[in-house]
Amino acid sequence: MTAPRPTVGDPIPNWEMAEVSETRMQLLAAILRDPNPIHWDRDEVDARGLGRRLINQGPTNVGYVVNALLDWAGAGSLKKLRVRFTSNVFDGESLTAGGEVTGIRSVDGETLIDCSIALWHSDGRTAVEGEATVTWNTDYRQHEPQPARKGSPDGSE
Amino acid sequence: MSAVEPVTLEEMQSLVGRRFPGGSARVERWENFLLHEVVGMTLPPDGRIHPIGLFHVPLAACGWSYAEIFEICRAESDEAVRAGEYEWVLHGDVLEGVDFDITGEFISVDRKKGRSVGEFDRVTFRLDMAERASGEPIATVTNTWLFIRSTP
Repeated sequence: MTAPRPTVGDPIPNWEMAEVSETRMQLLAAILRDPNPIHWDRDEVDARGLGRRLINQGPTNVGYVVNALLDWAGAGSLKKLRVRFTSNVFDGESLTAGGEVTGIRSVDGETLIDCSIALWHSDGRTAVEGEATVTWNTDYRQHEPQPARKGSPDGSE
Repeated sequence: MSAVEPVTLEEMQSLVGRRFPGGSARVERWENFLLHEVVGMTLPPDGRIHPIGLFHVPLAACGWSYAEIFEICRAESDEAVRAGEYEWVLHGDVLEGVDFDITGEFISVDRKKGRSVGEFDRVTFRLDMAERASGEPIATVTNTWLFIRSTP
């Protein structure tokens, strides 16, 4: 698949997470061997005065933004990413990841696209903000993800 | 947290230049499959690891556990640690089944004051990930963590 080269101001197509799932939080906690109960024990979250909903891991939130970039620019296109966490994400939320092209450079014959990136809650607040650089190379754009899987709460198609 | 020994900025800044013990890492296909599952993406056929692996793979192999890093940075509790900023620079493809060597060091410490959390130390460290077979750099990960100080 070949897409026209972007221009400054172009939006990065949104990537949607329909519902942040408890199961995926538990899965990442197991992969990371992360003992922090805020990702898997509602009573513990409650005891800390944070409500009854589990808190999504920061890496997962950044992962949604990366998904938006890779869906758009292709697998292997990410060259640099810098992010800050601006608010917590809770299970059951729906989120949107995206951004905008802020610059285009050519370095050693390679086209580099600079972008602002963000992850938004459904009320428009940001959960993640930052900047990224991707390469624009049509060779990378051969493995388009399957949209049917994107953001489904349990990964089912 | 009144029993916590106060730490001076000078003590914290003495961390700058301190190197991590280092170690090695490898991500197998099953782990990459699960990483993609966590973020709701389909596993690509080309063996590329989802970039969110850059959060934990270098840290898991840096030679210190999270608890040890917290102790070195004089965290007052687990709750007194916050994620600040993360920066990844990819120099090459991060692939399944490849052995990587991880090295790292603390690069800066600043003390700041926030409206909601009060005084905190902003500690930044860099981890470099290189392919063991070739020695080629693959990724540089720069993490900034915030350590909230309740004791002046």
